[in-house]
Amino acid sequence: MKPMLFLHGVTLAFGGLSVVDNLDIQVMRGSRCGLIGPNGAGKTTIFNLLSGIYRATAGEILLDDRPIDDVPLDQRIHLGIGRTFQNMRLMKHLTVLENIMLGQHRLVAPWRRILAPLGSPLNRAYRDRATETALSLGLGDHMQRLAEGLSYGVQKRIEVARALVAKPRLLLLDEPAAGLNSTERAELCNILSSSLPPDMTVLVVEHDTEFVKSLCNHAVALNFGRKIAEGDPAEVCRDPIVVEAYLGMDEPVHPAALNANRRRGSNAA
Amino acid sequence: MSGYALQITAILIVNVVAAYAAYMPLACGQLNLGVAGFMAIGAYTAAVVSSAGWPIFVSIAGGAAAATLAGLLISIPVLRARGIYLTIATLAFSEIITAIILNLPAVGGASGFVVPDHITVAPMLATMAVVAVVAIWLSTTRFGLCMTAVRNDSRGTAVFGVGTRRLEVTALTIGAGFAGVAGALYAHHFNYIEAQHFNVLLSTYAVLFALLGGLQTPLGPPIGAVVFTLLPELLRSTDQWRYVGFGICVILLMLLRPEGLLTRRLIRRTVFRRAYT
Amino acid sequence: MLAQQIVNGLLLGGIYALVALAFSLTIGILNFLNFSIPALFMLGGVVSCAVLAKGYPIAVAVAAALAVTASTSLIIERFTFRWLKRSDSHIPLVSSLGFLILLENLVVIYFGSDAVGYPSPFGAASVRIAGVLVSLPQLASFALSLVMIAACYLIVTRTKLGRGLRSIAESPAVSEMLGVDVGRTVSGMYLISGLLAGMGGALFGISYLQVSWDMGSEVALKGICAMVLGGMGNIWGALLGALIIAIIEVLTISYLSSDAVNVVVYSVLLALILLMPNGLLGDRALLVERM
Repeated sequence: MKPMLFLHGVTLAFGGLSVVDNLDIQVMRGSRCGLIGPNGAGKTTIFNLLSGIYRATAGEILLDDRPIDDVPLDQRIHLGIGRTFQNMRLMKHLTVLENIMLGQHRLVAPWRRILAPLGSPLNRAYRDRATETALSLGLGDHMQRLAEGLSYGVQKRIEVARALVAKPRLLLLDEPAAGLNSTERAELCNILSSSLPPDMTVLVVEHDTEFVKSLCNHAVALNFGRKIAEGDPAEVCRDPIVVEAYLGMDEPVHPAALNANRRRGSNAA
Repeated sequence: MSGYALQITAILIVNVVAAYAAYMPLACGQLNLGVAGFMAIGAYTAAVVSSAGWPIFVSIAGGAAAATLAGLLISIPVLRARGIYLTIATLAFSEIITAIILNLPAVGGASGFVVPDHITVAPMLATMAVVAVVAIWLSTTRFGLCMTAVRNDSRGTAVFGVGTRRLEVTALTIGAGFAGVAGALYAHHFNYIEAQHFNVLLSTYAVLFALLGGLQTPLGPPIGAVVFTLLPELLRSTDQWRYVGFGICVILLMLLRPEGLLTRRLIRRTVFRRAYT
Repeated sequence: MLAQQIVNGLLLGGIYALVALAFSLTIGILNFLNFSIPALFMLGGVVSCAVLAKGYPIAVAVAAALAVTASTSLIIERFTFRWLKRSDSHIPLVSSLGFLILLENLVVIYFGSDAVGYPSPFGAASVRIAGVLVSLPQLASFALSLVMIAACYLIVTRTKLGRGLRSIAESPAVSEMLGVDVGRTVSGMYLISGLLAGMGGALFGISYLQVSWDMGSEVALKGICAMVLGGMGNIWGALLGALIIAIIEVLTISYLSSDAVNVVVYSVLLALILLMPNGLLGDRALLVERM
């Protein structure tokens, strides 16, 4: 079976520094693939390459056998690529529902829908779908609230809802659990497991290995822009090369990574 | 209504429409200091059309159309520039327009142009209402949603497939059209226009009315225009002290409430009266 | 005669360069167009004029002007910059517009709206060099402008303040983490622009023997144009741009008319922005937007 997403020899170099080096990653349709690795391993860079923010200096990216490197940023969504951002980019002056409706933009075809008031019957279908997505992510209480000033956990879920509502074929979740405490993280993991459509291909960048193990059926580990391990999430997380990559780095402590290390420490014994 | 009150109302109406003209690009995050240039185009076109014998509503429509066309033509190249360059380019454009008009003897050059056909306050109010309705209606649509999104985060909006450049051009063009209406109204009420009137200070005031009123809702610009047109009148002192007061207001507002007088949060607190976190 | 015009232009350019530099540094480092700079320019001219009129020597007049513009600039900073930490970049620009309106009208109230003769002790002394009449005060102004620009260059490249300024231009947040005293560095920036603009105004008075409440706006346009020409944030670019603009101005006056000057300069500006937004010598490194 052909992979839905194929990164083939992809390299991104800034001057002499390779942020991503000769990467070969294949993701099957419908799979939930976790990208793990220490800070600076190149995980978010891969997402930036996929969503069109960066352009690879070598290699190519194929989506359903079609190279996408020439597609500009604002057209990527039409390819079916949706993403969330690590540093969230919610529109602070829009409500939660409006933020989610922004995500639907590519589905809104005829001009008159763009010129019709959002509250009118012409837009009912879009409103309903946005509401549905919001509810599936547990945002029912917040829908008319302005996005600025909401708690971090809620904002994370809005980000996901906004990406989901456009019905992407490939969903990129960039550290969805970062900054959440363990309860919120478990909750988010449950919500995602149930609300993500089974036929949607999902790539998740995450530090929290428990999260990856619960949500994903496949994992790819990176370090210094190179792939160091791949396979079943539990096995990848136990792989000594991966463990060393995490423990051997001098880096500011990420709370999720700290928890993961503690747990991993007991596994690796 | 006394003559003085009518005069103030007329000025207020023009200011409200000019504020909407500045609001459209500002709501997308673009600072347009060329509002006066588009007002000049609207005013002079209306004056010329009216002198040719056409009725007022035709001349106003003509002024608006000319300004809209000019807006479209200038915004396409100018919006390739970003941020401060855009602001400077709009400023330059506006001054060039005024300078060109100054040197056109056909429209009076430096001595100005007398405009036949007077428009009274009532039809002016109606025209202003039309502009306000258009602006408010636009803001309730997905176009308005995208305007706010682009203002909050332009790149982040493009990721969702929104054509941000096209949106900005459209907003600036519509704003130019509004400015044309403002200019035409001014021309027909005061029956005399001169190029020197449409200067940077005029653009600045239009922008300030919109900013001080608040960009988050389409009700902000008229509130800004009303407050900052009437406040100096209430103070009733000499021209200079009035401007000193205005300057101080601008400084204080930018310091204490830079989001402007009217914000969405404020509307929620007063209208809905629920405790929002 | 062409050579005469060019010399006049070059000497004029020195004054524009000071204004252009003030604008350029503020945009380069604080990322906003500071419309209070023309007001400070005007204050420099008006204050030195008033002090001279009271009979004090020129050095005292200029010193007083600089003291006034520097302190006004710091007051402006107090009422503006702190809020730059929010991401809305129109706030400091609009605030500076408020100061411009405030200061210009205060000057009209206290000094009247007519142009005032500038009682310069140098008058219109001039000397003939190679067949060209060179006004001595203008030559001295030009020299003084060069000195100030060079001083700016040295401050920005060689001093701790300069390192702080360049650091803030890259990223205020990171600068703070690296130990840069952002508050004092920004105050330093405002101080420098106040001194540049104020000196420009005083030199303008000395060179052109006239000041008025709106002298700032005229020069502002040319300063902005020079800045764009030379590249925002580029110190020597500001000088180059100013010299070019000044020459364009004098040539326009000779061959077209003095009324045409503004149109020509604005047209050059518009053409520049549309065709070559990074200026002749290139923009400072633009911040890479972090996604």
